[in-house]
Amino acid sequence: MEQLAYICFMQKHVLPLSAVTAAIADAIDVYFDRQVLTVKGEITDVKKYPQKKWCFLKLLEKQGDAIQTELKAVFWSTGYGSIARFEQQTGRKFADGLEVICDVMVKYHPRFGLSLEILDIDTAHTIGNLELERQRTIERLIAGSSFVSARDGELVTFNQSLQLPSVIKSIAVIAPPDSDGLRDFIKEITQNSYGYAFRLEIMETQVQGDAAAAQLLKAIRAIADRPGRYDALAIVRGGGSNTDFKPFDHYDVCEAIAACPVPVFTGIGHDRNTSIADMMGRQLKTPTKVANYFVEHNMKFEDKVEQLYQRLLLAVHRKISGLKEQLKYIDRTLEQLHPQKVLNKGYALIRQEGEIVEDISALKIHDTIDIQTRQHMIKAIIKNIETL
Amino acid sequence: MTEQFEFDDAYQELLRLVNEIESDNVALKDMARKIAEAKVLVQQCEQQLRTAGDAVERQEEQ
Repeated sequence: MEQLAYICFMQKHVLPLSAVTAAIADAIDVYFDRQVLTVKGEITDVKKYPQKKWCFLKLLEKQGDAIQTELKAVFWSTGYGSIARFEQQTGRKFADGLEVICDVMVKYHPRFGLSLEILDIDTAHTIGNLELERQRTIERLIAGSSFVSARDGELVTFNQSLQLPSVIKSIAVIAPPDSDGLRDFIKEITQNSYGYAFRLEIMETQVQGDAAAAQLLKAIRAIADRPGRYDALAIVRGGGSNTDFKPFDHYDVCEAIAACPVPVFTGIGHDRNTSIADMMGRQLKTPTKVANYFVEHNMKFEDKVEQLYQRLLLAVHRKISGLKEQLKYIDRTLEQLHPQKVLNKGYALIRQEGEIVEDISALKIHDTIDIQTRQHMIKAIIKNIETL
Repeated sequence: MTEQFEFDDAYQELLRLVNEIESDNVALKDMARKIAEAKVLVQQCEQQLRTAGDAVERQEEQ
């Protein structure tokens, strides 16, 4: 470097640009000696090229809102995998505005200039930050919203206290347009094996990116304004590599769910992480599970109706059985009282002119009577009547 | 806008019929009619659960 300056000074010689960039490259090599450094910064201008496994971005250091330092950074294929790992572990999209700690090497290219090659991202730091941010939002909801409270360490919301109708027929669905989650939900609910029919009103919103929270909020409020129209609200998403849950931790979105007069079910497709939105309603993890829940809910009602009908048939059956028993008893009693039964025991019936004689005083000496025994009919003339 | 079938009302009516029959307050001559009423309610529930959404479009609450 000193040698280059000396030549310039002595000979007033115009140098090729490459001599300067080569000198810069040498200086950087000497200073940093290909060391891996750990740096902290906010990421911005993230541009991913998944096919090539490259990602270009900028790292910023801010004081308040003012940018103090800015450096270009890049993931080449060797470090690119750490982005997916980061998104999976943190549940957040690697996108503008995130503060990250990462391992880097300082690189200089004569054409593209100074940059940091990112080799790995410290997910623990981001998870810690996100968790802190989430915790603050939860505390704010408990303290600032009349629809959210904490009971025995659990969040309790107005929405969770809402009773579901016996049958769910009309469902508002908030989902990203043309998403796997929405397709799964519709397929599951419209092709259910019981043949139940539902009235679906789908409101398409973005669920990631800057506009997502505002769109979600607008849709939830539109549903809340017409509570009599819906039995339930399903918020679904999922599928693919979508891992940005930031809108579902947004204070206003979460409070709108907590305050919504229509029971909210979330199936936002993440098995490990629970967003704050999940805690405000009823969390069912995936769109398919939400659809199945509604189908099973209606199946339980149909079962109850069927059980009631069976109870009715059983009551009728018992009643008829009881009446049959009564008839049998009467039949048996009548049988016991039949005159033939009496005759079988050795008694006899006295008839006069075909009529059973019930009053002996009506008979006189020399009257002709018929005496009926078990097997015989005897014609007789009365010789004498004695009172015993 | 069609009138919405009320599942809860149907269920309550069915329950009332069951309780009536179980309590032995139904004369034998009325039994067949009560069973038929219950059967209709069950069939209505089954049918309405499977009726397309448009038919259950509900009155919006003001």
